[in-house]
Amino acid sequence: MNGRNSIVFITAEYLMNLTDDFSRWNSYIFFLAAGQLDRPLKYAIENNKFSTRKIVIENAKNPIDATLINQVLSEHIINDNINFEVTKKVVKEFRKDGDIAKSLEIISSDIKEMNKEENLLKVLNHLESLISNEN
Amino acid sequence: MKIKKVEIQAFRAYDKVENGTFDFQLGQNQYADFISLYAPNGFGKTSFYDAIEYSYTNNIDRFLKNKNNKDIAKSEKNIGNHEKQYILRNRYSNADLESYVILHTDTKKISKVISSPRRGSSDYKFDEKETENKYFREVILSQDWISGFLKEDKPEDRYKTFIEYFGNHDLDRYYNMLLSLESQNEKEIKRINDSIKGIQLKLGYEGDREILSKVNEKINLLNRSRTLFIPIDFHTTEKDLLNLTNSISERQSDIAFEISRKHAQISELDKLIIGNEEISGIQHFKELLAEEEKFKKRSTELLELSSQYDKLQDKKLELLAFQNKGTSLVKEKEEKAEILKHFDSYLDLLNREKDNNKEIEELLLAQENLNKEIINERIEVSKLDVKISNYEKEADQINRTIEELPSIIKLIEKRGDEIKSILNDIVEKKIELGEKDKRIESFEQLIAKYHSAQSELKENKLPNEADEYFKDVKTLIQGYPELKLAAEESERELEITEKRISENELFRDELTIFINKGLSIINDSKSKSCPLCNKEYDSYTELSDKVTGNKFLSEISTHLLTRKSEIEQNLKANSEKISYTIAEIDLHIFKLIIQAQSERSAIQSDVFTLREFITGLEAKAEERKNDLLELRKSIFNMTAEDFRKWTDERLAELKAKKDLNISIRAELLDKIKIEEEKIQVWIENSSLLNKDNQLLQNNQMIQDLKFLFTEYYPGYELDPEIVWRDLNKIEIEHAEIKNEIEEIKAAVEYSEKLLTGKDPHAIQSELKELELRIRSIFRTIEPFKLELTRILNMDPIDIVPEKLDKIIQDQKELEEQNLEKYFEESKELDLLSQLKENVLPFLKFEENKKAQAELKKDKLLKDKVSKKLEKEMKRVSAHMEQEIKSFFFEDLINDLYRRIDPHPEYNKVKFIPDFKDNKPKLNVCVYKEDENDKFIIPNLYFSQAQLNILSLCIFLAKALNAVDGQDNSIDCIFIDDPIQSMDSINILSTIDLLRSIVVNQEKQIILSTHDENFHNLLKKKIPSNLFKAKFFGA
Repeated sequence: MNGRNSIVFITAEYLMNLTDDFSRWNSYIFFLAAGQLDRPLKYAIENNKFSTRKIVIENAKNPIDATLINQVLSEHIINDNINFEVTKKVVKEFRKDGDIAKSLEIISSDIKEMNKEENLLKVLNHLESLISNEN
Repeated sequence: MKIKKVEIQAFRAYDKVENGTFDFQLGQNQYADFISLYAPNGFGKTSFYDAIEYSYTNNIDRFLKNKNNKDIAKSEKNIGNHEKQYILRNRYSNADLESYVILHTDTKKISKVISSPRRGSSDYKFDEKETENKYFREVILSQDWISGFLKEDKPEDRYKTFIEYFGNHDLDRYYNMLLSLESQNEKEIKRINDSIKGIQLKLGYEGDREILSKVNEKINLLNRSRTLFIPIDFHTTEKDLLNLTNSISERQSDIAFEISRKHAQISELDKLIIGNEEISGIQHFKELLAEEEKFKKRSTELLELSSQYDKLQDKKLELLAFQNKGTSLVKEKEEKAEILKHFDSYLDLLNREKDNNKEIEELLLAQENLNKEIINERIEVSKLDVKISNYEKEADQINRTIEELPSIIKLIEKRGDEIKSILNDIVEKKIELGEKDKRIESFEQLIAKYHSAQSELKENKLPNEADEYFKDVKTLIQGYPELKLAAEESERELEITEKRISENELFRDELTIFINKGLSIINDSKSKSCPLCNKEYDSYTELSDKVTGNKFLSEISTHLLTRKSEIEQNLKANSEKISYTIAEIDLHIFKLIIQAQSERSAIQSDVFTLREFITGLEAKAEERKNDLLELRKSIFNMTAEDFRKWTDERLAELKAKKDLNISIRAELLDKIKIEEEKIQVWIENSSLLNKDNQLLQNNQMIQDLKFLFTEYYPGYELDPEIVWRDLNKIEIEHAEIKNEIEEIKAAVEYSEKLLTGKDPHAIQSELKELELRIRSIFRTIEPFKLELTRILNMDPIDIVPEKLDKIIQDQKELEEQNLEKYFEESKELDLLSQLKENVLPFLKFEENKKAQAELKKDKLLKDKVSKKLEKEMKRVSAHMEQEIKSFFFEDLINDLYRRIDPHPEYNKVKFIPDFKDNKPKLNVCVYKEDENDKFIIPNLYFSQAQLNILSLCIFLAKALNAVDGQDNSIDCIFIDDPIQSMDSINILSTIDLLRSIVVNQEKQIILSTHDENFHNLLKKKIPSNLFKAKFFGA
């Protein structure tokens, strides 16, 4: 039985017999392969739109037991293994260099004004005077 | 924080709150965690998110993102003629409907009311500063975010987008500023390097390096007495050296001038000592001074004598003047005395004139008073004349009345009788008038009655047959009820007949149908038995003919119509009789009215005549009464006897009064005559006095006096006092002059004694000679003095002849010493001038050395600045890299991205910020799991759906970890249409992922979609009966 036939078979024999609406709309077909599938084949299976969502599991480990099934479900359906708990790195507030900050204070904070050559020179001169005084 | 309910009214696409309420409650204290809102595009999905965002953050981020929005809103406002601009408020909502959003969360209720803007203003400001609780934006995954973030092709543009959306704007600006500063600093360093290269070429000098101290040594030497030149140093400029050159030249010129001046001064001092053709020497000058002194002394003595002689002559002239003055005063005194003599006579005459005038005035006054008295007396005489006349007239009148008395008495009696007769006539005529008025009234009532009968007749009400006035039409009135009854009977019969005619016609129609049916049956069956009445006929033909020829119904109709015609004729005849009866009675009433009106008019005419007659009688009676009153009044309403008695008394009284008045009148006339004679005498006296006054005015003595007085005192009135005062003044002046004359005479005698033996001519002659000699000496010594004062610069007063020799000699020695000094200084200046020429090259060399040092120092400083800026940029970029890394939760994004699995191979994501170049970049790369060093930029290879999924994962990871200002987790996530362009496989995996987030993480997801299939699919995949889910459809 190839995949396409199996999908039809499952649909006919299994899904059609389901009476529960939720089960009918929430069935999944997993294709577990021992190795890796050709990309076109995998694409063809997963993008088959007939009746249910299909998921290909490559390099599936034997045996297909409850652990594996739970693992597959967790990974693809229930998503209960997502690590939502991210540790947010606390980035300390940036402290500007004192001399540069002081030098910038002497000109207008308007960005267009700041970028005028005369204002840039004013800032640089002030910065030089501060560095010079430090020495 | 989760959302329990949202209420939106008059906000964006929403109108009334009934249609804008989203209640997420499921049961008692239970709320949906998964909500799907389905609505086609344009039905307010985005408005729903706008409302939630605005209620929580007081702003709408998607409006701010596009900077053009503000300009567009401004244009719209201008086009809208500056009406109120509604951006938040639903402009189509009723004006009374309040615009608001109420957000019910599990922790609080947030109400946001949108106030109405002023005219020309907007209810939304497009101002980022208005934003509150900015963190809330992280949980609103708008379409713009999802589809826009990865759309940028260039990583530097994506960096900009990132900064714009989430970044640290201040720090980014700071970084850009550092870049600008660094670039500018590099430019400056390059400029300095170029300058240093230029200066190095000019550094070469082989001259005297001690030149500055040598030049300054000379300057200090020359500056000993006073500062002439400024010392030089390394700061001295080319201009300073030029100034020094000029100063040396100026000083040389000054010295040359001074030397020449000193030579001239020494030469002039020599001239003073020995003299020349212009002036004498000092020895001769001293001799002349002694001689001049002697001459001046003698001249003074002679001048004194001459002065005394002149004074004597002056005194003599003065004496003569005083004597002349005394003589003229004596003459004047005599003339004034003469005037005073005239004054005695003048005053006598003047008093006489005054007395005359006074007497004339008194006479005039008495005359006037007496005239007034005479006038009054004459008035009194006139009054007496009137009284006498009146008494006479009254007596005449009484006498005439006495004569007419018998006829007056008769006339009074006659008039009384006449009045009585007239009054009786009036009473009779008034009674007659009353009767006529009553008759007119009865006719009026009768006419009214006829009119009433006429009106009632119009309503077919006939008058009473018993009434006497209608006896002529009594028969007609009696026959009328019968006619009326007959008419009514006929009308009823006509009605019945018409009804029968109508019924007969209906019946005939029905019967015709019935017969036709029967005939058709007969014709069909060819039967001789009638099917309608079961009567047997001989043959079918007979039966058929009988039925066909049936006339029964038409005969009835004819009879009925004939009857109707008869009734109508009867009715017409009857109606004509009734009309005739009414018309006859109406005519009779009309005649009665005319007759009554005619009779009433005749009586009214009589009444008018009667009233005229009574008025005439009343006027006549009144005339007689007046006449009677006048007659009685003429005898004072008395009887004839009383009147006669009264007249006797009155006539006697009048005579007595008349006689008395005549006597008084005669007395008054006598008095007037005497008084008029007295006035005549007074007039004559006044005339005499006036004549006397005229003579006094023309008196010759008075004329002379006036002439003399006016000559001395023009403008003054004749007054002897003025002359007396003047005469006293002359006396005093004359006495003073006499004293003066005595004093001057004594002084003249004294001077004549002193000058005895002195010849005034000899004195004048000697004085002239001395003056000539002094002048001659002056001409010689004065030029010497002038030269002396000029050369030695001294005041002429200070000249002491004995000390002059020494002063001149000392001055000469001093000038010679100064001359020597100037020669020395000139020599030193020449030396300084030569040394100075070597200073400029040396200074230029030093200047370049210094400039090079400065530039090197400046470059060193700029290098330090450059290092500092570079270091700071590295710090900033490192920090921003950290911020970006911390912003994107890379592991979670990868995990989410893997679950949806949009791409078969590139299933890993990495964020790579790059600050190596001047333009920071943000790379979002994907790579294959087994090739973690081969990144691709997904934009080039991914479909739009794949890019959207990647973007959704990026923002979903961010939203899942969003916290509020107090670091509390925000548990609700809003996703606007997440499945755009996705294929169905990705849609299924996305739904599974979202469901897992709701179930496993207990997050609340509020999702909207325009796709009804997707909405329905969600209902199946996350049904409300199994999950805390709620679905809102369009």
